Amino acid sequence: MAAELPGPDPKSLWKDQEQEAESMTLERIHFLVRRYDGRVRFSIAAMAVILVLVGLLGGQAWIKAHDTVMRVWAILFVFGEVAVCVLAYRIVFPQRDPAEPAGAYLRRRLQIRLGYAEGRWLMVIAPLAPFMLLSVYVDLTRRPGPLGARLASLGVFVAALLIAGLRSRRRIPKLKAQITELDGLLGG
Amino acid sequence: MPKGRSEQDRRYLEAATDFGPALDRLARGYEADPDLRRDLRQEIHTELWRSLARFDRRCSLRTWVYRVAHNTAASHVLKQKGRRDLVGVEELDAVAADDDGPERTLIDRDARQRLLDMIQTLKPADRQLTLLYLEDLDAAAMAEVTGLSTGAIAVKIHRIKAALAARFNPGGDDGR
Repeated sequence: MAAELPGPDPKSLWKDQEQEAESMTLERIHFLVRRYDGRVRFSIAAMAVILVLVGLLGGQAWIKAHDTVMRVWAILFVFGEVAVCVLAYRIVFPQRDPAEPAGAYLRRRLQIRLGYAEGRWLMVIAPLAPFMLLSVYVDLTRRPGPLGARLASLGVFVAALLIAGLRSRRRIPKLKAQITELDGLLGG
Repeated sequence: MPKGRSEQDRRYLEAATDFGPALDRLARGYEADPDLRRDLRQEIHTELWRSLARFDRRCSLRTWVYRVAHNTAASHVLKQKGRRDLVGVEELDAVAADDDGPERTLIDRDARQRLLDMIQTLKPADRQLTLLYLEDLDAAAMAEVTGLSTGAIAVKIHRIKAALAARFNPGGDDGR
């Protein structure tokens, strides 16, 4: 596929670019990999600290619980947080083939983004839903004070979910168009 | 040093020697900002080194290197917040027509910068093909790197050549 374009040849223009000043030596690569691995270890350690705190809070709630509802509340809190951490870990550190064909890789990434734009991100916090519903029930039936104040936190949470959902949905048409085009190019 | 790691290092050095300059150009095609480009370049090389621990000869080293590099760069582009709207190679003319007023300075830049500007405007899939075309890969090699059908690649290359001709040789053959 030789260049057939007369005048300034884009391929020559492209290939004749000056080299980057910083050279990528093996030592540099090893340093960068160590730094990346250090960040991963830090993230895992941070997640472990969060889980320990969740365990402590859950344990304290269990000890203080004076009836079945509050004990269930403590259990749902711990299990919900652990599940959210596991899901978040799988999103932050996905298993993937680094040498997947570039078009297929791009399509998969766009499909994931489309899924999140369509509301799949709710799945990440879904394990906390039973805990949150029970929290609302506890707030409504046991907390003193006017009804408005008891519902305020729920209102803020629902409003935040709606805003986040509406913002992400704006990306849907563009993502769908890109995926459709890629499907045509991939011959699928 | 473990034997597996020295083999990985050897493969990386081979890849970096053969394709290092192409990877530098690829990073330029994906990122205009010098600092972000430096990060992207480091990320591409790091990903390449890590991936070579799993190099299974299912494809040539060249295909492997380009796949890893384009995948890393595509993730980089998709992660960018507030990026300008990217277009397909078919829509490049419309973008050029909008480049008046302050943006008119684009035309006064040197040809290489105009080429970079054009590439950085493209959607990831079109950018992949344009960069591979400029690196002189043939349609079969592009199909191996991208997984796209050779028919679709032929059509895209035709449009890429036309777009390049329109920008760098407006009065001449447009490659059609």
